[in-house]
Amino acid sequence: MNDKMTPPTRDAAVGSIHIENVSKSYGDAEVLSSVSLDIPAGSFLTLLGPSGCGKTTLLRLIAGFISPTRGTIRIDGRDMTQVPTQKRPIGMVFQNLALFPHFSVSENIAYGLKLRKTDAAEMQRRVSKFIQLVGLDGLGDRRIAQLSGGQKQRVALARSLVLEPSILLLDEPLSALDLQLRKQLQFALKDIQKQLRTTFVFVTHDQEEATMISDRIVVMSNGHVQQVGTPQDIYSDPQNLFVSKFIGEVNELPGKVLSVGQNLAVETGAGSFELPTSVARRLDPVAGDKVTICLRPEKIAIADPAAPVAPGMVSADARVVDTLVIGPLTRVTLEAQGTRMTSVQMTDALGPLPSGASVRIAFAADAARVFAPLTADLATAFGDQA
Amino acid sequence: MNTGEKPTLAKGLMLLPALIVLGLFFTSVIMLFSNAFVDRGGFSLKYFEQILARPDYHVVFYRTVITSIIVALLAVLLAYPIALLLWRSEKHRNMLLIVVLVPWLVSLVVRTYGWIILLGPKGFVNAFLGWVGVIDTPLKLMFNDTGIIIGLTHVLIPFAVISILASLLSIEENLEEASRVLGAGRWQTFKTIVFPLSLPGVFTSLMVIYLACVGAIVTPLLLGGITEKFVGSQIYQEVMATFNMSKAAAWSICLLSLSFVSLVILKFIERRALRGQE
Repeated sequence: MNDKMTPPTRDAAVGSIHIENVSKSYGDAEVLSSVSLDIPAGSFLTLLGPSGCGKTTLLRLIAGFISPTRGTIRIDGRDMTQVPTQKRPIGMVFQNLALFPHFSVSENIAYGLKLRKTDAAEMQRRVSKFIQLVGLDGLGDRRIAQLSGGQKQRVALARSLVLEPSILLLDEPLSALDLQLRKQLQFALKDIQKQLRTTFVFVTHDQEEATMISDRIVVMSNGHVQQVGTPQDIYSDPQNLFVSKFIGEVNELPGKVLSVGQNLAVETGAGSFELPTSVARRLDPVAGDKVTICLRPEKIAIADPAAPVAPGMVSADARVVDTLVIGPLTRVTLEAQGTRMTSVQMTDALGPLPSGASVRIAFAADAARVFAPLTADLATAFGDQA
Repeated sequence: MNTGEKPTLAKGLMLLPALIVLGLFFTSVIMLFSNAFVDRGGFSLKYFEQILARPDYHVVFYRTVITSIIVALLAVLLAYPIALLLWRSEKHRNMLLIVVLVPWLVSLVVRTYGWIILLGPKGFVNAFLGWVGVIDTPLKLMFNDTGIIIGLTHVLIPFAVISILASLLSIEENLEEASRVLGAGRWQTFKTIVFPLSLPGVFTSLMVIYLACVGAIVTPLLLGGITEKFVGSQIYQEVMATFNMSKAAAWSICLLSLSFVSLVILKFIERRALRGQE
């Protein structure tokens, strides 16, 4: 028995998805509006967005459970419009897992192989190989009801992967698990994806999960793709206020453009700031426009009010409201002329900051991002009033 | 702790109606047994011997059992597609369910008379078949086993629809989609996933309908012939026509034992069929 198996490898060119101008409407309600997306073979892509943003609809379109109102979906260059689900080279892990309760673990995993009329010995070999790959050794004869949540998760994964699909669709499969198990399975998923080089399309509303496991993230809202990029790109260079707010934490300073020249002058509740025009490169503002300055908490430094402002830095006077030490990091809540802000700093680098102390906050002028305010429909995703 | 001493009496009083009903029930069962097993003050199997000795009574038992099995199978067979339809049509499910249940709003006797109108020698069905030219002489659809089967199946189908639908509705969402993603077509998915998971409902309906049939009185009385007797109609006759309470009681106990034995057999079959399902 050579149990140390080599994972099945595949031709890296297989498993690409091209989505062209795909829209999906139910009656008058358009849940997906001309989405175009290229998913390269072998990548781990996450569709991220608040509930109702269309991410699950997109996944179900790729699976073929529903068909697009407009547009085409190609897998490996082949138009999938007329291809029924069971003929598509895909696997899928469902949010509720959808394991067959009347089958044992190995029967669940063998289901797809049986349909493909795999011979008994080969089936046996592949089932036990995948039971091992997902770490379920010795549980093959168990009933589904006898498994824990994490084990069920692994069965669902093995059941899809045993067929060696070139694409695996995952619809929030981890959302029902507790945090620790979730972390563990996130790593397991990433690991398996790397080994098999299968294209993974993962749906989640959890931005932390998305950043942790994906090669690329597609941020969606209201049926539109807001931004596509690596987790790093999306965090440091968001396209708009929605993406900026949805990924990570951000301080928002709503204000008005005073003038646009060599610099962009913006007046906010916390003071007026001169910023390089490059920070608004997505916007092209003119004087009088309403804009929002976004600042990541870690970009806001806290300085002595008496100290001189370094070149390239923008500063404002503020007052300490509260500090909260979370291990190596400290969150400082500040107030600058009535505007609340949060700064996150290394605990070691901070001096004592009693509540009420006057300080000066400073940030690099090019660390700020200036966006147009959220449109009303996007604002609802955050529960803001429009 | 906060349910103090005082409410105890009130609680006891609230149990009273239930106790009266239960008391009457047990009294009737005890009287049934004493009627059947006691003759002239002593234990006797006389009435059972009277029943078991007569070959024409054996036929009544066979007819009851075989007809009931046929009705149970037929009702489930006809109810299954209806249940599937109701399961699929999420939007109109409640409305369709009402359509299925409407016959229950009409009294059993009235419904059976309805069948007489439809099935009689000059009834609608025969008139229609004659008009179309399929038959020359009217079919005998009534006052025989056919009439009993049609009548009982009609009365009992809603039971089957409801219990099969309940089973279908308890199937976890997405199982069909999961099966299709794994490569199964619609028929394959039905065969290996949906149908096995709906079996509990199928067995429940078989059991309920079989038991309801075995004890049926009105339908065999009205749609069956004079010679086509059921155990139920036989008991009715003993009580209402010949006033032989003891023999009726013996019949009832035979019926009870018959139902019990059938139930055990059916449960055994169910256990084997559902092996592996919780």
